[in-house]
Amino acid sequence: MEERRQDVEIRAGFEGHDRRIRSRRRNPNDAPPWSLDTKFRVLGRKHPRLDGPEKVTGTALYPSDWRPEGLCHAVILRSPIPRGTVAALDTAKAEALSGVKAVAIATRPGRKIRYQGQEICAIAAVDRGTAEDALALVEVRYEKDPDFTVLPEEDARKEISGIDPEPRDLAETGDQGKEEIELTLSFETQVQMHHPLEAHGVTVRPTGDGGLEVWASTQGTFMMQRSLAQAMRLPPNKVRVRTPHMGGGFGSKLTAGVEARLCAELAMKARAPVRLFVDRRGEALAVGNRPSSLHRIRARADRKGEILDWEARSFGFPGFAGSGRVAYPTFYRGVRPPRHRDILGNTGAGRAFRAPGHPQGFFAAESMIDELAYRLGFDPLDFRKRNVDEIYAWQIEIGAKNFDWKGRFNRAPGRRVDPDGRLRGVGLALTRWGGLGSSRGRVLCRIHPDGRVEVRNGAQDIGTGTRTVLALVVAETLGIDPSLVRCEIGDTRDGIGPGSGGSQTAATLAPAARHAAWLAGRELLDRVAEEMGTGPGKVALDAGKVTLPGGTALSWKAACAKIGAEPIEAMGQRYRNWRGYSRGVRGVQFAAVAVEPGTGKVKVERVVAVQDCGKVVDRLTAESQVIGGVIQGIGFGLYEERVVDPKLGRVLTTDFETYRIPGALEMPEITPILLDGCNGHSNTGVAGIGEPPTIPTSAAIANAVRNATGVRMRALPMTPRRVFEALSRMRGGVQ
Amino acid sequence: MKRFAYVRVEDAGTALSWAAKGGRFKAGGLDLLDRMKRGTLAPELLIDLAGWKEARGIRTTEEGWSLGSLTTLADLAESGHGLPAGIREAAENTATPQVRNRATLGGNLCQTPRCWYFHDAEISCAKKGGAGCPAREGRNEGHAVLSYGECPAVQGGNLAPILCALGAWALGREADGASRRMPLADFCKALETDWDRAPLLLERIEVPKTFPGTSHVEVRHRDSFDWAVASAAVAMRLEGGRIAEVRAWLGGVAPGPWRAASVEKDLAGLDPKPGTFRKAAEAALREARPLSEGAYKVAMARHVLEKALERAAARAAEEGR
Repeated sequence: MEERRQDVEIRAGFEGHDRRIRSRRRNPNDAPPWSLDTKFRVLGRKHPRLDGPEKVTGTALYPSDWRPEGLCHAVILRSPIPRGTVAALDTAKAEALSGVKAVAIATRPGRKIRYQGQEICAIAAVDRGTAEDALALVEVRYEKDPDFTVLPEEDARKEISGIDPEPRDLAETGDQGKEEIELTLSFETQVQMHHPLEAHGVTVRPTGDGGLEVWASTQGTFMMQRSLAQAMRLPPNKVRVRTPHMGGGFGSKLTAGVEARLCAELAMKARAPVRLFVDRRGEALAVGNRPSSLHRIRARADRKGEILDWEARSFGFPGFAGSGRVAYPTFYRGVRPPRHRDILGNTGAGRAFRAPGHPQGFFAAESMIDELAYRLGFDPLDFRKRNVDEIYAWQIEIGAKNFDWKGRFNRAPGRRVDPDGRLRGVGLALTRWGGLGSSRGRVLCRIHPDGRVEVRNGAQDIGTGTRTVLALVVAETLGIDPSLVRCEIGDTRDGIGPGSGGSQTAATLAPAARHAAWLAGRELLDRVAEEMGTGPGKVALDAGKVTLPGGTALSWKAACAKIGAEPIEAMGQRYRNWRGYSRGVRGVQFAAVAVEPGTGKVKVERVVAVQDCGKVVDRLTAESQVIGGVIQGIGFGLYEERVVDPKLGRVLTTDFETYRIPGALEMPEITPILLDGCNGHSNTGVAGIGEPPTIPTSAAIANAVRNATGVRMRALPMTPRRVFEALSRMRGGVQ
Repeated sequence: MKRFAYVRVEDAGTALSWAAKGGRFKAGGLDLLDRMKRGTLAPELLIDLAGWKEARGIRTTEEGWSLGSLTTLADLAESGHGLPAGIREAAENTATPQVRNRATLGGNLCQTPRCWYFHDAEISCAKKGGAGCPAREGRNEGHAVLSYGECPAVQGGNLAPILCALGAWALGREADGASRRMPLADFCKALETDWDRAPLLLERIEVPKTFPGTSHVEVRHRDSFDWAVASAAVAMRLEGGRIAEVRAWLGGVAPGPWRAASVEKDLAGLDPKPGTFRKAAEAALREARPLSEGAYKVAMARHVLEKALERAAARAAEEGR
């Protein structure tokens, strides 16, 4: 094959909305790119995930399941106070307890405490009960600092309301028919917890060579390896991280947290494997959250539907550290990012959380856009279409048709009561994300003489189906049945891969897998040609067969039998992205709600989620990600809220009884509409889909509540109490 | 969790003799184990009552029903026996299917009140031997709005209001093994003063067949797995199309089940037509004294009381036909 630099031109985008993409930077060694003209045999269909049976039968080994010989169990002592100093710390009695193997200190005497739940020390013992008994023997003297704040929102709220007229709940304000209007509204979002079902933690086994084998519940095996090696002052190659499966992370498990560092220290001290997983209460206090936010937006728009002016201020409250920045939908003409400030407080630090900053900012901005539309007398759908590009307009139309927007739109918000006593309404909101992948990926492909194909990469599967995605891409490239492909992931001894953040995993690894399979396939053809005595270039792969000169063909298995005793092995590269059809993905969500006026309860009855993600690899797992994103968005919009006591400086919602996540009865009918295309920025044109579908859900629900009731909800979550109070204010004429 | 010893018993006598040595009874164990894991309770001995046959099962009697204290909520919700609709509704609205399969009637009646301050072992409060109540000046949207004293924690058990409305009796054993029968309302009242010392080891609950119209209605934040913001249970009997007798009890609003006594007088002799009940529900809540965040709970108590009265009246009328 030719190995020279070449230009490639492909058709990319979506059927009917396509464009020719030309790349001068594409690496000549890369596999030929897929395009809209590619005829796919495997990709884009629904494939049950390959490790599904292991997961549902309980044989899939999660890091928290691993029990090596001689395992010790560790628990963490956490600070009960939100701010102060550790005045004295004595672990002598704990260490003297029979069965205790090691103690590791996280906060030494004299060091500051910055939030309730801060790690003081950890103890490893022969069993968990002994470790807990030992914890009770640790003597700590805290010097409390009474000057703490766990609700910095209150200060910011004062700052904003000083310049903000009290917003009105009612839309019927006589604005309609005016040439232009100006509106100022403020919005608030709460702290959301990650609460992955598998807690944060690791099991660490010291290896004979002075290194560590770490089974980590992580969404970044290589980031865990690097950060843990650094913390333990080990060369990275002495730390082997294994994550064959893991039980969720949502952004909070990208690097080695305090618990992982403590566990590694305990294992090295005890010279024995140690298991340390955070308990549910620790999950609520110390391993990250989506910071709360506060917004004030002033906007001007005219009766032509043009946003003339947009000025926004925002605050984020990431706890004692982290970032509370927010993102606005600046793809709307006229919408500009906010002037932002973070205010710290004495609670656990914020961390990346599924589309960091986006659900917060989109709730505020999409609510604002919606309200401008109502006050100018526009259908909010038409108003949006006037202010976005044609791809969005096309997606809005697709969703509106499936959802029956025109038929469901409530033309008398708050006044149309259905026979069951409920108020019904609909709303929509848009989403945007990047997720085109990075060049951080190497995938190994082996073709074995028996016809089986092995794919290996060291990155993890955060739960979205990485094994299945890689296997399908390889099967498509070789033209074989996916059941012949076996994929091994989650071991840092294999090729590097990205952390599962930024919706990057599939977009990064799919091109490397395609490259690996393409290289291996070329070598297969070379070996078959040599074996058959035909000239090079005379054999080809076609639909799972190897075609030979003279119109004959070998089956896949027969061809593989000719490669000799050694498997074919190829390492696929992930070359840099070139400029594709779009710089990211788009989507739009429609929500239908029913509001019970007597209780303020909001029931989401239906969600239609239109989403693109470049080339769809597995329609089933991609739809599953959309559905999961919507569910988490419903949680953010209606239920989930960290509650703190400002006087005590403590978090009160430390379990699933008080921190409400949506359950089965809260689920609406969710219809994902995946727009299969090809973004043309890599050899596969695959883009990420993990984060974008959770961004617009809460805004779409809030806009639907507005359509049902006439009330603009300005704070999340929209609990029955908040909605009831807002409805009561409106009934009472209080504005 | 602290280490503890565990015994499994098959009769009340053995259970009581272990209790005399400081043991603590375990039925379904849901509330109990939660507290042990949270560190707000550390019994040295658990006495598992699961093998105590006399306290199991539902029986129909001449006067009504006899419900074993170890009957699961799932059985109450689903087993039939012609149980009053209000009992079935109260049971099936509790928690989740998994919880209902384990949780028992006795445990539901005796469970610890809900309070996120009490359930946090690191927070000091009067109920844990400290001083004062942080909820009063703190976050209290879930706390009592009626007849609370020093402690405004709410007993969230779903079954007590409807059983009290039906005039149920508690049968059980005193510490010395003697059998005793007392109105369930008195049993619940005694628990209010000391959560951890029930006046009886509950064996059975007897429910008389007095009221043809019963209902249980509740509001919660979330339909899956949640406690009621407020619940109302009503038992009603009509005569000649008019309300002859009515009992209404509220749950989730007070330290125990709360009797809406004014409803009994206000509705006696009235025609149960639509609209009759709103005024009675409003009057019943007039004495509510919500804390800073409790106004929503008061509104919801009014709402569920009205709905429960409507539903019970409709059922009473249907039975009379």
